[in-house]
Amino acid sequence: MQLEGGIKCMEEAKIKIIMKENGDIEVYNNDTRTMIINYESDMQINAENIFTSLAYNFGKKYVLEKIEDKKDDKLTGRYNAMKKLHNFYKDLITKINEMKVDDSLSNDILLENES
Amino acid sequence: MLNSNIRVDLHIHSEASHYKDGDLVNESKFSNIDILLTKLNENNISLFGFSDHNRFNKELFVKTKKYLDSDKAKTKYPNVKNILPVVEFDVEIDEGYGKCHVLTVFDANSEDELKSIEDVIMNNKLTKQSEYYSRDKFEKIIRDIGQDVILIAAQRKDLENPRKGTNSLSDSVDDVYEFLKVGYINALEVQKSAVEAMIINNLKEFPGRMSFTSGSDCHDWLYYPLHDKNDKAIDKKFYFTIKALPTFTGLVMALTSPESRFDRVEEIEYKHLKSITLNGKEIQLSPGINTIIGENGSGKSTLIYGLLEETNKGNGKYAAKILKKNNFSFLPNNLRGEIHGVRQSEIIENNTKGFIFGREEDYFSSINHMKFDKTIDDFSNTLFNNIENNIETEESKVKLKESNFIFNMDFENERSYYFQIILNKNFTGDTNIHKERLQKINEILFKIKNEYNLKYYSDEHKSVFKNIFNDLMNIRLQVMNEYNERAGIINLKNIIYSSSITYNDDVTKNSGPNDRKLIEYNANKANFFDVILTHINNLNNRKWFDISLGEKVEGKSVNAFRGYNFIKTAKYNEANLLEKFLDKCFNKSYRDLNILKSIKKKDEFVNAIMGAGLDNYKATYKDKVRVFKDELKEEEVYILKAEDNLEVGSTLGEKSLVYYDFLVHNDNKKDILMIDQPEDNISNSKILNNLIDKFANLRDKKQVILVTHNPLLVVNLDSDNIIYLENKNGVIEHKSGCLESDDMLTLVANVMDGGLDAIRRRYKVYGRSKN
Repeated sequence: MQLEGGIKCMEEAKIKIIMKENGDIEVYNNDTRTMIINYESDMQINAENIFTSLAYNFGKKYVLEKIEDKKDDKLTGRYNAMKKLHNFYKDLITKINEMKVDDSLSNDILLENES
Repeated sequence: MLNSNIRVDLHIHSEASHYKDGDLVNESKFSNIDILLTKLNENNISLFGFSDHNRFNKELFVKTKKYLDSDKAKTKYPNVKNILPVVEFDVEIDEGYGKCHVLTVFDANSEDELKSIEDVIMNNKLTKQSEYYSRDKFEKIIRDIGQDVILIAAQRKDLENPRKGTNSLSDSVDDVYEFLKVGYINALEVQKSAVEAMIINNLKEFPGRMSFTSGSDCHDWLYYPLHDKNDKAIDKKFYFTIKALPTFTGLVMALTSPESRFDRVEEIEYKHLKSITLNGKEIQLSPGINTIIGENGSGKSTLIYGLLEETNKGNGKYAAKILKKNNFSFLPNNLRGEIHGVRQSEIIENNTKGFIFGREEDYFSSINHMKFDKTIDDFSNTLFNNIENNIETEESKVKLKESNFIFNMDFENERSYYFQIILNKNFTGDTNIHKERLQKINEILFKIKNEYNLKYYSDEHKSVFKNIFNDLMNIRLQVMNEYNERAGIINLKNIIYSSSITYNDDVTKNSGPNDRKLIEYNANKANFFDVILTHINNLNNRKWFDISLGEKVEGKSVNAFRGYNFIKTAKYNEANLLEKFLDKCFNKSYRDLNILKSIKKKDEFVNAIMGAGLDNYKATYKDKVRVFKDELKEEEVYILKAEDNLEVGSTLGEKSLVYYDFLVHNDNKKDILMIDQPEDNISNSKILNNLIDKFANLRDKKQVILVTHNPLLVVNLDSDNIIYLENKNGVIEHKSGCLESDDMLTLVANVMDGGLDAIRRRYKVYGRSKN
């Protein structure tokens, strides 16, 4: 749906980060898994994957869900890493939601001279 | 002008042959002339002659000639036009070989000249049937008579037949071929087509064409064209056909040019111009070969301009004035499309512009360079990649040698909980491609808005503006969405980038010493594996692939056209490409594939490429390849004659002859060929031995109209119609006719440089006593 003037109706995206029992960390966007960080093999995350995980559209609003409490003591280190990633997303989402596009070219143009 | 063929029978006996033929000729006398003329008229014989054995009856000749010129005879015998004085001499040409019959035609017109024939013969009279003259005696008689003569020897069998007693030339000479070559005899008289065919076969090595005549050898006029009442001949040839005036000169012209005067077709099937009219006076045109002659400025080229209707530019404008003043017209005037015209100097002009035939692209096909391009592109790219592969593999090998990594099992069992975010170089930095579109559409909208707000427009016009504005606003809305979407992505990536840096710093800061060691260990391990894998990959994939530039590539186009091959070749055609390629692209000490294969370092590769630096070696190499290709694609053109594959010469004269070959080729469907001064740039010997044949071969196939100053193109080409023009104070006057008509030979001799020589050359064999 479009509003008059071309601004899209707000679309909401719920971002959720969870840790599986095997230490894999998964990122969900509206219940769709958008990223996996494998416990055994992944020691790095590509920035491109973070971008993809957000499934960005112009005007989309992001909500970051809380992470679940730690369940397994063996994965404390991993849980802390997830908390850091969660904080990263939190910072990111705050900034995205405040993001403004330069509208100097998008101002209304009226045919009649304003008198 | 020569427009029709005539039939000639120069071999008719009269009572004057009595001493030899006895009573057989008793009734062949003037009192029976109507019997003969009736028969001649019925058989369409235009020119005839009494040819008695070693006798000339002047009285019979004069009476017959007078009678023929009378109105009565002209009405009664319209087909019979003229009589010539002829004697059938018995002559032993080479002593001891036997006699032959020689029909001797005299160019005698006056009573005195005719009397001289009779008197000289009577002074050397033969009285017995078996008597004959020696060659010396015969020649003395001819000299004493003192007139031009034509000699026609009887030949009743083929030249190789040894049978004697036929009164044939071959019975009377030692070597008949040598005798014919010297031109003593002007024609052979045969009586059967089969014999003529055999003699033609005998003479197939003979230079030029022999003239053959036939005659009735009629002794009793009542039975003309038979010999007498006992003659049963059914396949006898009793006349010959020539295109000539029925005169001695006409006969000379025919016998000296059998190619143009014998076997001419009667019915013309192609379109041709019939006449030109100047100042109300008509000039008849022959459907055959017409030559227009006259001094410079006499109006020759002017006529060509008029016929070609090229009167709107250059000299044509001047010609138009002259033509108008002289009331120029021609018939039929709807045949301009049938004329293939060549203006004076057209060939020179074309040659100056670069190509004698006009537009080069009409004659030469373009060369398809695709194979050459692909060959060079494949080779040059593979060579470049091969060298780069060698360099890369060498580099990865060195890197592998220098790398080391020690496995640490403690670290191998450890897990790092923190992970870094990798930021590739091109993660940010995108530009918004929709920005410019949006700016432009905004500018247009502002311009429309400004125009709309001016007071000059009517409501109707304003409404148009408004509609356009609203349509554009809809487009703008779509562009704006695309712009915002893109702007959002760019912003988002920038945010991810800055947040990642903060995150990575934070992770590094909060990692303990063990974490950092583990990260470093893993990074070193990954790097070590990477070096190994890279080198394995290079060994497998970055190889030296086989290349070769040994095969020669064809770069040639051949267009076969009217008996010639127009050939275009590129420089690379059949060339040693490898040598040329290496010379063009690489410095001297690297012009060998094995040396290039040994290059292992980039700086050496840079040194190898001519004029290259480290920062531009790839572009330089590509440029060198491009220049090499361009240079080798340079083309040259030449023309080969298809029949012998010999290259056409480069002189203007030789090229002009090729040009005329084109004009006369069967593929040229135009019925009328018109050329202003074809002799330009061509030597007289080439005109004589080459150009004349080209035009002569068109006889009875096309109408030819030539403007010329060269007498060879009149006399030797044996023009059917000569048109002489003279300019008298802007009024073009004219005379026309064939060579033998009235004073045309005199005119050609007088007005054309070398005209007299040309006529003498053709005429000399007949002038036995006169100059």
